[in-house]
Amino acid sequence: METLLTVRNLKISFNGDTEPIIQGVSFNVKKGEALGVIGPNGSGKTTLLLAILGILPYEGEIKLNLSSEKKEEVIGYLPQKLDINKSLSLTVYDFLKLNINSRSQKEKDLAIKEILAFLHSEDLKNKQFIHLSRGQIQRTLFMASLLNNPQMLLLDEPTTGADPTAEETIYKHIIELKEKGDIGIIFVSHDLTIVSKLADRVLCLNKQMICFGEPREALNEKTLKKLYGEDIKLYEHQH
Amino acid sequence: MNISTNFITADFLFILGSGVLVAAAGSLLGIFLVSRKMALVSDALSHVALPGVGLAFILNFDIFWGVLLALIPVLLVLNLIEQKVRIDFSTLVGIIFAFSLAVGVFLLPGEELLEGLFGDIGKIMKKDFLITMVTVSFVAIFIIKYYRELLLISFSEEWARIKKTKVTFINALFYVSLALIIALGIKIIGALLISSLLIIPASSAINLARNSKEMIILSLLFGVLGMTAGLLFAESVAEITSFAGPVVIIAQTAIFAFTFAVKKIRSKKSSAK
Repeated sequence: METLLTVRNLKISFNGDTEPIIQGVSFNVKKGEALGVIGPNGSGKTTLLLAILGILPYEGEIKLNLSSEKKEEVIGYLPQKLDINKSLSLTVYDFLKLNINSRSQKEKDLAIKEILAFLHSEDLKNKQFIHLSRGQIQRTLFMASLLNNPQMLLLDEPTTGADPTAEETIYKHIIELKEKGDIGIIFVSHDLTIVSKLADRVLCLNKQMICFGEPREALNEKTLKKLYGEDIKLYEHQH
Repeated sequence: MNISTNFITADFLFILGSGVLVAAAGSLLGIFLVSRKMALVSDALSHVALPGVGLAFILNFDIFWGVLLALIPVLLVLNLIEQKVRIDFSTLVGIIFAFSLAVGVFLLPGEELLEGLFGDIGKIMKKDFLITMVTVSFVAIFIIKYYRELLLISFSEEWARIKKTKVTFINALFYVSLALIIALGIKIIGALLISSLLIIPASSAINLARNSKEMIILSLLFGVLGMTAGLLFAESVAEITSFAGPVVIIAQTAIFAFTFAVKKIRSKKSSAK
């Protein structure tokens, strides 16, 4: 399988801070693969995604093997939290249109129609943001991240604010996208069950890389204790 | 009351043309101010314009240039502060607001002070109309060229940065456009009322609009409507040229009250369904 992203010895520090946010992180993501990123709060998961997006400066190497240098065109990103101004009279349709890169009006409309259908969200099309629930906003941002046919998808806790049904829907779509095989996905999650179910490989992060590998091997009690502290226990589901 | 159409002279057409152009550009910029909850900022800026009027009076040049001279540096510094320093923005705005008013009052003698505060359409000539045309064209080109980016930034600055929008550059141009429109508007409706020209049409439009296209069209419409009504009234009925500003604002507020009522009725209807 073709490698889409190679990260080698990544180190990120904020101005003036002596201790780096993350350091010594190396991993790769292949086409058709989902990489789950886990770690406690403040472990540098979001920082890692922002560095891949090219928004934060870093040391080390981030090598992308995508069709365009313009990351905003080939990488889809769903942030965990976003401050938005709901007083603007933007509808979901307006917003999605703003997020499509240079295409004709007809092509834009078609792309929006397809993405709304893919997420069964046609009912949201003409709704203004002020009338959307948190889960619906998250779903709209998810649609926006998929609009430009990204080759790589970065999802930061994609189900934040979603109710259990919406959560299931979003994960169902991530599986669908993965199974298509032409996209690499990195998703951050707190839910270890989801990670072991969805991820082909997992990256454990707590300011440095604690583990990287297939969930069955990487997610053992020793790793998790190192990641979350001594209190954690791993229970295997018996089916 | 004797209403005649004798007042429609070439001079009045210059006044009307200037007013309509400034209202149109102001109501468009207003959308991006209101949606970003920056209404207070425009208030402070309009007051910074007052020392500019004083400067123009002392140095004997056009109010437009005096106001620009005062506004542009303040705007650029504000933009920098917003980006770099964590400070309570409304506190900063409050301080600038009071300080500028004080300096303005200090610089301007009685009659000019009144003109600076409330505007005087009697002073608008052909030359002003030409300056307005050129300046509003610049602002219009900016809005058209960066319409998508302006909406993205107004929706969420964070999201705009993720989309690699040149936020700092566009914000700087936005502030310059604001300065230009305020500098033009001062002559018509004065420093005390100019911010309403930016804020009220956009707020009225947001009350009614069901999507972004309607928001833009309605804001333009309300801005131009309020301005035209105000100018016609001041020139024909009141025949007092310094009345135009207050009448424009009263007309704008009436439109806002109407749209607010419609919004309430609509939401009652939809919750009753």
